[in-house]
Amino acid sequence: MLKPCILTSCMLAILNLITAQSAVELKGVVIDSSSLSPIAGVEVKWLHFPHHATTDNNGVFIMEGHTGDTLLVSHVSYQSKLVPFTRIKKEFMVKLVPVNAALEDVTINTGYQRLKPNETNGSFVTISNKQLNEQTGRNILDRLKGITSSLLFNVGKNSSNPQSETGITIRGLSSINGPLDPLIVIDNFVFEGDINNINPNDVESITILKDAAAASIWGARAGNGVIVITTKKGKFNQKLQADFNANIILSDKPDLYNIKRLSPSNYIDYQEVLFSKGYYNNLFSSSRFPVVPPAIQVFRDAAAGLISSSDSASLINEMKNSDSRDQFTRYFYQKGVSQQYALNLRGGSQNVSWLFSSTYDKDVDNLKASYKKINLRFENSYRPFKNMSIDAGVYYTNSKSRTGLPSYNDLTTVNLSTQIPYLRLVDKSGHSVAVPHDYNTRFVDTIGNGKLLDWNYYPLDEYKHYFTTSAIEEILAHISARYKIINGLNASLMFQYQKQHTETVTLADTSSYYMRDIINTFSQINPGTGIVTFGIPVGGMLKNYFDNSNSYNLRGQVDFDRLINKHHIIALAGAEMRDRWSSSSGATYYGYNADPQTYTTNLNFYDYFPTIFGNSATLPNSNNLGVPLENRFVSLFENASYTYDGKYTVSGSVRKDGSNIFGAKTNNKWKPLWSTGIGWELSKERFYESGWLPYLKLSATYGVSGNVDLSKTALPVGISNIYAATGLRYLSINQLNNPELRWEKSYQTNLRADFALKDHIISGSIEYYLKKGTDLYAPTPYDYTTFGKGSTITANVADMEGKGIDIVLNSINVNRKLRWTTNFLFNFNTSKTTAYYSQWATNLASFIGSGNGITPIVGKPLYAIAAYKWGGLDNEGNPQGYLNNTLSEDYVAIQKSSQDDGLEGGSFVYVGPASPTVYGSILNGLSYKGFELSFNFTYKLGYYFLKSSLGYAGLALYDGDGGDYSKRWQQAGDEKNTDVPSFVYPLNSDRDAFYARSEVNVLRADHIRLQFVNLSYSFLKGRGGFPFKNLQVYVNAANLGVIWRANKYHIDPDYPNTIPKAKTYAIGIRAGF
Amino acid sequence: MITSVSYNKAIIVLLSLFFFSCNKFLDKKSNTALVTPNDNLSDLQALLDAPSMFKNKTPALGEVSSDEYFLDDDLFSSAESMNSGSQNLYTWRYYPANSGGNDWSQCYTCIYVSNLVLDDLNKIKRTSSNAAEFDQVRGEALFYRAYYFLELLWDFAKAYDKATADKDWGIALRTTSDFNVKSVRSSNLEGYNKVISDVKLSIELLPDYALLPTRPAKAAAYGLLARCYLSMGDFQSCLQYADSALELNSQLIDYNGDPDIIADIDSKGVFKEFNKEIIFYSEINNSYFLFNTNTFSNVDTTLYNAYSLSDLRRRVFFYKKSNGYYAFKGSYGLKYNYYFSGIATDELLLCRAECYVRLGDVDKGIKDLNHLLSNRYKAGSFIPLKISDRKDALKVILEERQKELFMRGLRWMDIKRLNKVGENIVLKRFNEGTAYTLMPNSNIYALPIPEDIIKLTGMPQNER
Repeated sequence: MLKPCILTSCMLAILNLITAQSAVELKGVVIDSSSLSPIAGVEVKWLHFPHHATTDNNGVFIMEGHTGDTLLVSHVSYQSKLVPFTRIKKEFMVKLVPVNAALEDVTINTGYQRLKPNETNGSFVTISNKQLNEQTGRNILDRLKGITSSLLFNVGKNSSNPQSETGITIRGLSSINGPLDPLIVIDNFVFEGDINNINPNDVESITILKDAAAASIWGARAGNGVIVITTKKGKFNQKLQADFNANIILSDKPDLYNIKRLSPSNYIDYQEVLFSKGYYNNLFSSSRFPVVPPAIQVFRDAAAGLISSSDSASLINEMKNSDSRDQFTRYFYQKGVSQQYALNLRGGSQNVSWLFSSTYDKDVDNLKASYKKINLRFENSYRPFKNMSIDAGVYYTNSKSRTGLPSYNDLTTVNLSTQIPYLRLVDKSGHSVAVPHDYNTRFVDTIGNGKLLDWNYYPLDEYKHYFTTSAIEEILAHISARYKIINGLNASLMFQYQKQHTETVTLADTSSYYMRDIINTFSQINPGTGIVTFGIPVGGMLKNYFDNSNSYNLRGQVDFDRLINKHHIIALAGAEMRDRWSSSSGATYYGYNADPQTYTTNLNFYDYFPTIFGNSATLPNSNNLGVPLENRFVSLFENASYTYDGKYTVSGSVRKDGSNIFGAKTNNKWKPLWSTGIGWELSKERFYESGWLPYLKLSATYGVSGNVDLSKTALPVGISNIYAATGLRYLSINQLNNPELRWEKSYQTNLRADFALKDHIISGSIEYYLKKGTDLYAPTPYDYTTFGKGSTITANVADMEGKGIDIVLNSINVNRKLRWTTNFLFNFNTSKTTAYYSQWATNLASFIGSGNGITPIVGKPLYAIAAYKWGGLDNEGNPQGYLNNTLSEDYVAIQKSSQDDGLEGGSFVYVGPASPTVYGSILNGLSYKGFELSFNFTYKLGYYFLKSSLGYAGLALYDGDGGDYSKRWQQAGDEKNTDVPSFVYPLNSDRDAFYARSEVNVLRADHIRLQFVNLSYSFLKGRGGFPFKNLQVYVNAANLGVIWRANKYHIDPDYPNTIPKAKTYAIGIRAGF
Repeated sequence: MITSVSYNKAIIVLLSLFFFSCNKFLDKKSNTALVTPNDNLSDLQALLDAPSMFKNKTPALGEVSSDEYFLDDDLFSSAESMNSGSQNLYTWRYYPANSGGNDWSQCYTCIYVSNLVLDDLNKIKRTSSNAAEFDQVRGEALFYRAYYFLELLWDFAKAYDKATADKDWGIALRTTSDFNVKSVRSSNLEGYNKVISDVKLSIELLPDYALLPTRPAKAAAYGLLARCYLSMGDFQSCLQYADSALELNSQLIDYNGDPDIIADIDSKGVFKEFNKEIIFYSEINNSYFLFNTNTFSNVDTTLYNAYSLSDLRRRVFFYKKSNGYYAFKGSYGLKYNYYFSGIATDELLLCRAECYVRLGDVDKGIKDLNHLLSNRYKAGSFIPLKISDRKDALKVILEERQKELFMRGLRWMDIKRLNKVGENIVLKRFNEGTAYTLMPNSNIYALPIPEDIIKLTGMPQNER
């Protein structure tokens, strides 16, 4: 505290000196924003007038003043600054921020305290507001893509784990069956609402806590890393400031031809072959009246002599020339438009500061689904008296969304999930056409003799009559008080309340297919009188679902920060409690009409009613009263660091968490977690003399954080219910209790070096980490004689290990009028299972497949791929594998051998990881005068994916062929040029499955994509009536696609068989007043 | 110094207050539908009232292996395409370990709950005010455990043979809910003895009558003992307990017309839920589709033809399917296609009749049989049987037993025990040109324990 005071008085002395000089000249002093020491050699020049100057050793410059012009203050090691010179003011001070802000001027917000990077040994990444603004869109987490070290977005990995919503992993996985999401914190508290409710314009910065030393302060739920979002705040002694941001994002229509499929012509030819062999006969005999694809109906009618061969030929010809993708692209898909307007006002006097922000979002997507959102935010800080400050704020979100048209992939028939690629959806005059959906068209046309409602499905119209709206309302309110007890010692008390209400409403009117189908299904026609009786009233339907959640947090904390001679101590201690409550309910109303509102009150949802198909069913309903859930947590925490002489830092933290895990014994509810670290700022040592590497800091940390899954229990837990047949209350126990159940632990070691080359030409950090997960939850086969239900139980039986390297390099390549910087992010991460108590889990054959699910096998990564060994095609086009090391076509035996004999059996091979082991990005920034251009390449390397391929049995009902059909074996000799098997009949699904999962279809997934390009222009404040403090216009393009890939099939490995994300283009304006 | 000491004291007091309130704060239930049943009798009763204690529970593999249904060649091949290994199952060659839902797991689910209840009862004090409820819960738990032990013995052990019972393998007699206790296979003798001693204990505890047949009462316990002794070939004891049960309940439904017949006898769903003949309610495990004549297989034609034209069971029990064969719709289950396997008065009447005849009292046996049949035949058409020869009487009673107790989960046990006394029942299947035969007293009658259980526990598998 002493040092800055001395410096400030020096400054004042210098300023006095300047004032004493001639009035014609302008005098200034340039100082470092963090050390407050004067900077020599700073270039100062006017933008419009030719005069310029350079600072002397005291940081002082003297030059001619020009009112209305702007000064450009620049230095190679600092960020340039523009200083408008509005009125004659002869002396002033300019603070420059060092170029490598991450090292000097960044504040790390852990959610518990704010630190300078040199005050901690933990591993953090901080993403500034500027970096966050390089991408657009309404999801704040998506903006971390490509700009954040050690963060990986898992694309295409499916997880049945309910706690895997973000799809984000920080430094790889740390759990197998436990929660996979990082903990998300907003300002001070854990956030459990919908992340889409957070308006990116309200976010000041984001800090990622990576290692155990950083994350362990968050305790039992921080095992997957922590993302701390810091929101914007008002400042004391600040004039009213207004910022306005508006942008429009356009997204292209998706390219449906990206999915590799058969042309309708080839597809109908293929189906004709199958039809001639009798493959589709069962479609006509089934009592469920399934959809018969139109082409097959024509073949059937022609074969039965119902239509002439010339008629059938012309019908077939018409189908062959019609591709639904054309119609989809033309009539269903449109350009998506997303608009966002944000206004932010802030100001402050000596004792009060405030901020008000509002945002309005409006989206209409490619398929006419809409989304609207309003955010309102008010923040207030107040200093009622000396040493006391009070902060309070409210954040309100209201959003509404509505579903749109079905996508190309969604339009499948109900019973058989067939997709008919040649359907005509719109007729020549632009009207919607009915397509087969649930039942055979002929059945639908004839069953009611015209007495039932129209039973046709019109895909282009249905969304107008049957749709779901979802409205979310959220309030987040907080108040906190901070009191300075003595210098360096503060006590604070914080409270936050959160309430979210979601209402989902599905509406169907009488014209909807949805209603017509249900009404017809529950109809009966009296054969004598022909009178129709309806089991469900002819009318609409309203189905609603409410979901409520509340939470409150309370935290008391004492902070200590004091520099005594060479000893710097920073410490905090506190306690926290948290309660989260949620409930849900739903109901269905038939015969619903909105205006005047009517509905049927006396429908019986319990009994079975006859259907027109001759069987019986209950009326579909969603009536449900959810069980209220309440989770409580209590934590005690303590964190301290001690730095000697600015060089040596030791730090540590301890935390104890408790929760009301149901069925746990009290002493198991509490769990201590801790971390420790050491740091050494080598470059401050007297012996350290390196001209080229002026800054070097080494640190090492070790610690443990946890994972807890509240659904697992230690005592037998019965679920209460009433059994209708007996009318008695009963308890059923569905999960075997495990008294030994403990929380998962994640130990992490982190070694880090921070460095900066001379003048910050290159700076950055290199980290090596080792993660060890122990006591991980895993389903374990057990002797079910003991319990009966299921064949596995959950136990703490798995261990895993992850290790990796994170490298961040920032370089300044050119720093003149044109400035060019590069940020290079490199991450290497591997993880493997080290122990798994299951005799079946050791089987590598479990990896045969897409690799999209987590499979724990000792010694192997959690996401990996194995494939059947490929022996090429034989001279009849049959795929060959290996059985006992000899070529074989016994696909069932090959499959069995791979399961039973493992790798030794030789029928399959282990290929490699299915999740990137090397990933990162290269972000280039160029600036020239007011222009700034940035573009980001991201790369993912060192992994594999399974290409989709041709399966003849699958092709009978779905036309996806992975691009194989035209390459299939057709005649002897083809086996030399192709790996695609020949067509055989009867269809053999074992043969298809073997080929689909064989080596030839597993490809390297490595690729590089252009993540985004961002261009902006900032208008400089000119003369006269320019009302803005700053004004920036920008354009942005994102999802620009893959620019290099290792596979030769032109497949995007992130979207191997789906429609990839459409390219988006944004244009926007940012203005400050 | 004094102030610092009192500061410390204050801090200690505050901290302990904090911990105390935290623990209280954490005692809040996270889900109000959840209960940890360990300290009150109504929760323990609720555990035993769960439908999972009686629905889809008793073994089905015996029924799959018996002679009450058949598959023609078409069904035989489609059975295989529905579930590989089904042909082997049908022809007694191989029994797939169908983990989750297999006979073994289904029975032990109920045994676990019974054990949990018995373990938790140890934590509750029996007082004069809760004695009745306490005893009933304990009696029910003992009954349920014994009921499923016996079902498992019928499925997985050889037919009881006095001479070898102490050496023949029985089942795992689990008597604790602690899953850390290893499962071991006891002998057949120990198994039957455990059933008998537990049920005898339960008789002392159970009330004479219960609210519903899903809650065992005294008659159910007597009935269970009668079943047990019958399968052991101890006819004297069987007679005694069948008689005791019938003393408490001997009602029969008159198929000619009865309050418990709630629909036209040709329709499906003829019987009232929990009809008056039911003493204890349970259903056969529905995880094996082969024997389900409603959805898959056909009723054995010889057996169907054995019902005389004036026998109402022909219409109450069966309906003709579109393939020309018959399906069974006469179950006492909650729905006609839920296969009832519990204890009923008709079964006990037939037990008593068989025992009377075997013990020499032919008249009493035939009297019981006539009483039953007079409620089954069309009114006026039934002429009471008059048989005096012991052998003839036994033959008729056993035939009627098979006709009355169709698909009740008893036939496999009957075949096993009758072959022990020389009835020489040979089971035959003929499919796709191959004949399969199961000879009397074959090792195969002790069905294989699921292979995964054998691997995990090291218990001995049944010989093939």
